[in-house]
Amino acid sequence: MKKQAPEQIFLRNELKDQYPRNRTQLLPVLHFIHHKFGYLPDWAIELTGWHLGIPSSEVYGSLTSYPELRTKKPAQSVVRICTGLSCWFNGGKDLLDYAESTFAIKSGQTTTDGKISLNQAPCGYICSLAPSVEVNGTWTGQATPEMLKSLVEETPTA
Amino acid sequence: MKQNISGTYADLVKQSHLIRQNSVAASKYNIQVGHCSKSVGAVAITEEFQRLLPDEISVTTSGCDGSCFNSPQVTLMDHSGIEKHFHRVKPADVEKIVSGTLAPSSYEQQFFSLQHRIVLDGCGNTNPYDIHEYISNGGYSALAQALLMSPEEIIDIIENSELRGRGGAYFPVALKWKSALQTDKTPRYLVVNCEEGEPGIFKDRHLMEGVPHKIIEGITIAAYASGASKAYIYINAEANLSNDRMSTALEHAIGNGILGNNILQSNFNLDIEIRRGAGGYVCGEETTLINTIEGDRREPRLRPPFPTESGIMGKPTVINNPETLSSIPFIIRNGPDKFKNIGLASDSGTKIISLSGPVNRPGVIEVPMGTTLREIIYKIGGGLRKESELKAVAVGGPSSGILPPSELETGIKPGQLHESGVILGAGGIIVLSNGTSILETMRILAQYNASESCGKCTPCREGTPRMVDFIDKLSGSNGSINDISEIKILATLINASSLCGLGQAAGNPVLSTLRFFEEEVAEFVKQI
Repeated sequence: MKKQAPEQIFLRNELKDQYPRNRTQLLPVLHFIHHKFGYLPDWAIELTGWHLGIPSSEVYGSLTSYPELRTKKPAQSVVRICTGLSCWFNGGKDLLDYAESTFAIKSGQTTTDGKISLNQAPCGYICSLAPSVEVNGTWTGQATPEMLKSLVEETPTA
Repeated sequence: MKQNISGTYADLVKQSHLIRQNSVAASKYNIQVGHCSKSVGAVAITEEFQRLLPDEISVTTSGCDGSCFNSPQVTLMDHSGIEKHFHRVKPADVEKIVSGTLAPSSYEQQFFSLQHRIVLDGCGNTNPYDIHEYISNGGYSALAQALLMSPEEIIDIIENSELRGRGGAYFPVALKWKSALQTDKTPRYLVVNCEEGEPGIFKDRHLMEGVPHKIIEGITIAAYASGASKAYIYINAEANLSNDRMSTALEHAIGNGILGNNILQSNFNLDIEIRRGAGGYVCGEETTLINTIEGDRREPRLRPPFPTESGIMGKPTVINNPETLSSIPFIIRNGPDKFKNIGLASDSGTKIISLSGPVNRPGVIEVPMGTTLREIIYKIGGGLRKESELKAVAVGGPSSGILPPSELETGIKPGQLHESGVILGAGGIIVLSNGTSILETMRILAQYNASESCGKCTPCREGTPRMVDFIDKLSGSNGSINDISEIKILATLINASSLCGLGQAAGNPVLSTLRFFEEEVAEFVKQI
């Protein structure tokens, strides 16, 4: 048998201790891995399937149907700009324009040095404090371009 | 048994009062920390208060009271019971508040006086982490009352109150519970749908952050009445604060004998588990939610069988919205008539509205059914901001559509607000001002539906992106008048032939927009 890396052994033990081997545990297990590693590595998807007794292809099929689960390592600063109606028409559009020109990337892209990725979020659920922007999981309401700049500079990495 | 339940509850109240008495501070600062106020610095303020007042009783946190436009907010309650409010507080203000040198802000009378706060009651002035505060204010008394009745009696009360589900479909709650109770399959499940993946709506988070115990009380009563022994609270993956407050509340409830085995010494058992979603508007669809709990793809199932007959693991499953469940303690405590008399004769009760856009007072409000859009936007919301004029109102999110200013007298009610497909939905109202492009609005809503389409059925999977293409064509240089009628046919077709609620309403934004603003769109197309 192939020798397992320490993080694989760690995850296998964690899953064994915490999660019953039952398909209904799929989403909780994926959340656990996502939280621990920041994304879902291929080997962890396989391990999930092994632990829960379902083919990895089905684990993959299921997890990719959820917009909030990542299968790739995120950039150091993940910037998401809300494009819901309230935000978009109350400054969100300007924020996105600003971000695209400042970071020199289009929405959906990551800078070549892998530091910043820029995305649009359908809603940050702080519509009453539009426009809003999320940097590494923390939302800021009534955001301005200057705030966005300092948030990206100051926020600790994910 | 009966004496047991009442006696146990009475003991609990006594104990809570005692604990509360021991933690009385001379003056108390309450900071409203919620998902919204956190985004404008509420946490930094809390830290500053805790630094200046390190004792554990002078500073408390609560959920928000819904007046987002004033957040972050601090309330000072001095020993004589006088409240002072401080709005839009910055960390530098904290020292001045504590030393008494900052002038308090005025109370937003107009924002609150037109509301009817049943569900939101307690949001903004009670500590969600303090079960004893909830109990000493009469919390869990409805549960104690309910446990003395039979499930059928509770269902009768709810039936008489005419409570309908507040998640957007407005299905009669009593009917759902009854059909689950009448099946002979066990165990039965209850799922609380706090996924809230609808853009423009932020009320479930608000409730979970403000009054978690009220939701738990509602869940417990609902589970008892529908015969469920296991409940899932399904919380959005991003709503970490809500998750934190709900799980703390659950722990406290278990610790005080309100959840678990033999609740309040009765023979009713209930286990509640929190599940986190991973995004997706389509999870608001009941069968999709069941799929995600079972570990399958985020896709709807065919109905029937309905979840109340065959839900999680093929067992009867009741799915309710937290807003619905939070109304239940009020109904049990005050009787069905009190609830029925609120709102319209045909549609009783209140509805929480998430109001946003360029109005002076955006936020989370609760109004009786029948309140007009004009009252909501101009009286409670304080009208539009300077130099903005009303162009349209987007009601009910991406499954609904937009209404022009001429329809402002429309009162909110369950179901359709206009035949063009505008529905109340979960109660989002987004105000759009004169600078707003109608085509852009339509595109944002249509694009959302397209990206949320799960891909299971063809009309929705293939049709929703085509709708976006049409809108792009119309907004570009090669649109023609003919495209307007084409997109209408497409939208009608998607609505008529899709599998689940998402697809069946995906055409609504386009249909309602063109119903009221076709001339503007046509004008735009002609010009280019």
